Amino acid sequence: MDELEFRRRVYTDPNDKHPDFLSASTDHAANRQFLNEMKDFNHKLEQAMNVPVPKGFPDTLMLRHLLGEPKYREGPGWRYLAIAASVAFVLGFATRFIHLPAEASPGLPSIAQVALQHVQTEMPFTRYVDEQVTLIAANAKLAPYGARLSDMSRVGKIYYANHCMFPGGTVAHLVIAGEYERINIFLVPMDQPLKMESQFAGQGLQGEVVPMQNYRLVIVTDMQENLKQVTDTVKTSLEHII
Amino acid sequence: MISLFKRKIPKPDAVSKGIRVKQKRYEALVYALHADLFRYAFWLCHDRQVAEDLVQETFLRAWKALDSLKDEKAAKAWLITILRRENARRFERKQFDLVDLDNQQVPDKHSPGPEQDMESELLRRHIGELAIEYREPLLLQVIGGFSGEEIADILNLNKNTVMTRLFRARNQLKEALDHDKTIRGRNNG
Repeated sequence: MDELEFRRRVYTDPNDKHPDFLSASTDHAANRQFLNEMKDFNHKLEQAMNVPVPKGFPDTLMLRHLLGEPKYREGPGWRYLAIAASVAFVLGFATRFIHLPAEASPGLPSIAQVALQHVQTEMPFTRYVDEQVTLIAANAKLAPYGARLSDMSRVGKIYYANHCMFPGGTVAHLVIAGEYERINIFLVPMDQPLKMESQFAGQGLQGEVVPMQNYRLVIVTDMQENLKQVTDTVKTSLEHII
Repeated sequence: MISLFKRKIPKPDAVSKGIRVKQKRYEALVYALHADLFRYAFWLCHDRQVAEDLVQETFLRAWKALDSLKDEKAAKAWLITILRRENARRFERKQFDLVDLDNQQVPDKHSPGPEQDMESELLRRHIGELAIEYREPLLLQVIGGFSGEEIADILNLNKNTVMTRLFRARNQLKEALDHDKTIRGRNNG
């Protein structure tokens, strides 16, 4: 191995373990000295490359790994979830078939029944609530049904005005003051599939259904109330919009 | 239906045992090789934060593919290969991560200090200035302790190319350092 080749190999890898290289390094004093110089240089290089590693780096790596790792040991939890989901699905599916014939047979629910039941259920609430409904608030609730109140003088105090759920969809529900008990007023859109009755009574309540232009006015009062008079008052207070 | 689900219950134990073994193996790799990987990453990107992220991403991918590592002795080369791929991905994603060395802080050549530190600092600067194709084989040799063949394998080059690049890398560094010394000598004289 000539000197040039030797130097080339020293530059390439000062720690070359090849026998040819090793013997060449011991053959000549000059070679040996050059190799030592380059080994020294390589050592410096190593030191220079040895940039400090961030403190606690492996711990950080492990921590992030453990945090990011999904928990395998949670075991069969998903199985129960799967069973529960299956049961829920089957039940949901089954009730479709149970429900359909039941709905088909007795025809439309009666508006009287629906209104009476609604008033009865909400009674504990509507009897005491006082939202101090203003004309603007009441009219905002009535607007979707194509109605509005011109003023509140005839109707008197409105305790409550809101949208309520009837079987066929939403209706407007107003609660106003009456002579004996509070009076419930419903504005039921025309397209709601309900069986109509003009007058009804039950459970200490009486009611009347009045067809209006865009909706049916349903008024439910206490038995002692003068229903005719109330209906007239409400009817004249309501204006049609559209 | 219940028995169908029950039959599988003993299995998670075996799985979690396997996971534990994998976890141990992974931990060993992290503790043994994080420093070399961090240094390699640092010299690839010149940014400690980016280097940290790169190493983390590397280990994350390593965990996912740990079963494909059959030989523990090949772990370092394997991890470096992943790290290089991650680094390349970084450039695919966004170019502006690239740090221009001219903008990096340059050590003040005139401030007094131990000769050794100064030389190290200079050397660092020159290593950073080496073209990447010369820098990488040198890093693999000096930090990684890889042989010419192994470097060729990792970098997908033939061995002669690697040897030539190693030679040029050291040659350039030595020349640059000698050049500094003569300038400094003149300044001092």
